[in-house]
Amino acid sequence: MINFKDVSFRYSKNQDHVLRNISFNVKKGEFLGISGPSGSGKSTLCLMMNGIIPKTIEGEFSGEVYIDGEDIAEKEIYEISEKLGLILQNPESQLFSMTVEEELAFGPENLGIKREEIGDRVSWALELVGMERFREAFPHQLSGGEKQKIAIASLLTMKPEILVLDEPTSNLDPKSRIEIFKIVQKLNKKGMTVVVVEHETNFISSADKILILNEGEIVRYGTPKEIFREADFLKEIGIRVPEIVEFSNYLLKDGYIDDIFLSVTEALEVLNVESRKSLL
Amino acid sequence: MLKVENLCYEYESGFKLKNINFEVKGGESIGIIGENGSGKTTLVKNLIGLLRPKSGRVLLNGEDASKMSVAEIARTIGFVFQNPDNQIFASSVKEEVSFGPQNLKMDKIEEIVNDVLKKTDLFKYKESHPFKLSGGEKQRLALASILVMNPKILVLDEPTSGLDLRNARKLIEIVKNLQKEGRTLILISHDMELVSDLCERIILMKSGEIIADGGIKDIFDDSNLLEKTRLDLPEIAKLSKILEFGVVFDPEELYRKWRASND
Amino acid sequence: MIRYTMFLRRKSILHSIDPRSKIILSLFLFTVCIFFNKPIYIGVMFLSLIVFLKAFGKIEIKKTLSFLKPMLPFVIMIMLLWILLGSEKGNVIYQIWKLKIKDVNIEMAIAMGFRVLAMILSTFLLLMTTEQRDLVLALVKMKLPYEYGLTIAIALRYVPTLASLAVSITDAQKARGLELEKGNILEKIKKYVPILVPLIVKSIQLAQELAIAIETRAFGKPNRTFYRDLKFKFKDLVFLSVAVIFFVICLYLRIKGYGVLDI
Repeated sequence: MINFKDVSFRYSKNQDHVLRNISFNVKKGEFLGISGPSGSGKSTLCLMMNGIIPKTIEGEFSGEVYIDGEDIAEKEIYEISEKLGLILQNPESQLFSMTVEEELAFGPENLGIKREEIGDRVSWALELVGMERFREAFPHQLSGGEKQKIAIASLLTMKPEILVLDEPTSNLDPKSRIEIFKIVQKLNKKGMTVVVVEHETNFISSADKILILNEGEIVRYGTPKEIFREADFLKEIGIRVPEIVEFSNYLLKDGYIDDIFLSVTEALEVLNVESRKSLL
Repeated sequence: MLKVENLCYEYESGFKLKNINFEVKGGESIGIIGENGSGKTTLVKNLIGLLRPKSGRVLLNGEDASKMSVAEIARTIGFVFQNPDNQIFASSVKEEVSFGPQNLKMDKIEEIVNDVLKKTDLFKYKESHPFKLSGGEKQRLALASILVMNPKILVLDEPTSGLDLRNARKLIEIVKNLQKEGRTLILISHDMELVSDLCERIILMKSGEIIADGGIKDIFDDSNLLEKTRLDLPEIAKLSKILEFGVVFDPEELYRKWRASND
Repeated sequence: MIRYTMFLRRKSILHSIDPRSKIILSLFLFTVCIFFNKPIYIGVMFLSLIVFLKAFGKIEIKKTLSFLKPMLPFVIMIMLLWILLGSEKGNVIYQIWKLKIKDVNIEMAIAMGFRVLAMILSTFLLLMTTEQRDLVLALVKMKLPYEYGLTIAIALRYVPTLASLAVSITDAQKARGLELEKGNILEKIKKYVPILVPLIVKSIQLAQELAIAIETRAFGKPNRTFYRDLKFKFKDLVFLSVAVIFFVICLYLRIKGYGVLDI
């Protein structure tokens, strides 16, 4: 679904490459997590997925990016946006309309969707993110978490097949983080291909695959278990490892368990603890 | 050092702070936690004078803060806001950090600025443009800008929010050094691991009131309390509770406890 | 919460009229104000507008006057200018030193005062009874290119955001000892730099991110549809007809020389 072939980019000749020789694949319906320390090129990578780099943000770009089999170099951003929705870090700059309803309608309006259908899509998207009550709300009155949910909904009304989220829970409170996470998981289960960039690696520990970037290059790629088994390496390059996973790494090293665990439920199974799941 | 007596505040929108009573002694480190909208920031703004209480009072070293201007209070309580981008304006880091001391008409500004820049590992950026700094460096710059006014009490609002591991660690180290110097710390954060790392005592808030005020372990161990305030423990703490090790946030600590009980 | 828009929600005839009709009415009223300069004529017009707003827009007279209050200094200034610098003709009623105050000028001044107030009120009429988004939609329907309408809508939407940003920035700088009230005029102006710089920088940043967000929503694709629509109803026809008749009557009066002062 997403195909990067040997992509490299830098803003100008006098600067270092932000990304170098990036090649990877995302299958249809897959959930890919991307992580890396600050400055590793994660956000740049996201902006490449719908062509903002290099079409709107200029620089020296080499390599090819294919979305659903098509080379996006030959497409307009508005064409790519029909298939791929991008959610950025700052909800404030993504909600630019006067009401939530208008915001959600903006995308489909641009796509030329018929009026009646737009109304239906708005209702559907609001339900998906659990914000039905907010249809007439003004964006500046919403909390951070609510804003981000509306940002997601405003892309959902375009019915994209791929959703890319760049640190969507940055600066949000823990409750909102979990809510956003659940929405993303739900969308993925419904068949949407999802790419999430996070340095809060808790969020992506349930991804199908994880890509680790460091200093502009891909340094690791694999399943969450494969990635998190190398907790020391990750910490060394400056990536947070979920604490539960770190704990399991200690146990693994000293031979108490055969493989790491990624969640409390898994931990209890692996440790053969009578699940007092009522405490969960 | 800091005493709050029966403080009440009300916003136009109706949100109220009610019956806030607590005391902070010199050198203490307390964390203020609570869900969004519980009143943490409102409380702190009342402490530093940006908001003035409707009733009750704030006593700084015995003096009533209502008689002091915000600038005067800033000499005792320094508030590091969450978003450094909302205050950076100068053309050099040096100038930026000098802003506070200039306003307060302090002496030997260049000396204290250099000192603070070294403490926050920004000395090499002294002549650089603050806008060019990275996120983590900007956060340290915000801290430096307040630290330079030498407040005895430091209030930090979500200091590691949005920072990656390396930068978060650097900041925490600097804060720990400040604690060693004897500074009083008030930390507002959603990050329970951070709070448990830096503070011994926490104040739990909900709907504008203080629900609990006490030792970290006691409060986190009380499931009823946590449920009442709808605070979610991080996964590791949930696990450690189920494994009957109490509330543990540090993986290494949990591992040691595990080993101790299994060997 | 501070008001960011003049719009007052009411269930009235004026509120249900298509914004395009109201725009046309405002233009008519504006023009009629320029037709006449006899105090009685414009005075009556101004007072009628206030009553009109109450009768058809359900906007309380007190409310209307409170909106006009901030304009008073401006109006008084204009009146004073007319009194002092009026025409050569006319009889002097009063003299203070070399200042000759003539009867004609006083008449003119009163007329001008009313005129300014009436013109302002004709615009307020539109703004108090129409939601911002409907206004923009109306402009676009009246052939303003969509991009300009979108730009206006976005600018209006961010007014409250930037206002609260300015407050946050001011708070952060106050906590660093900035005291805006102190100092002479020059010093006071300089003090706004630490507030304006972060505000401008943030605004530019916001604009850049916004541009990306808009593109991500497929902006620019040909043949866009519009979800909201404005429909001209029978009452709009009636309304416009009345407005046209009113305008024509005023025009006739003007041509016949009524309502104009003899200068």
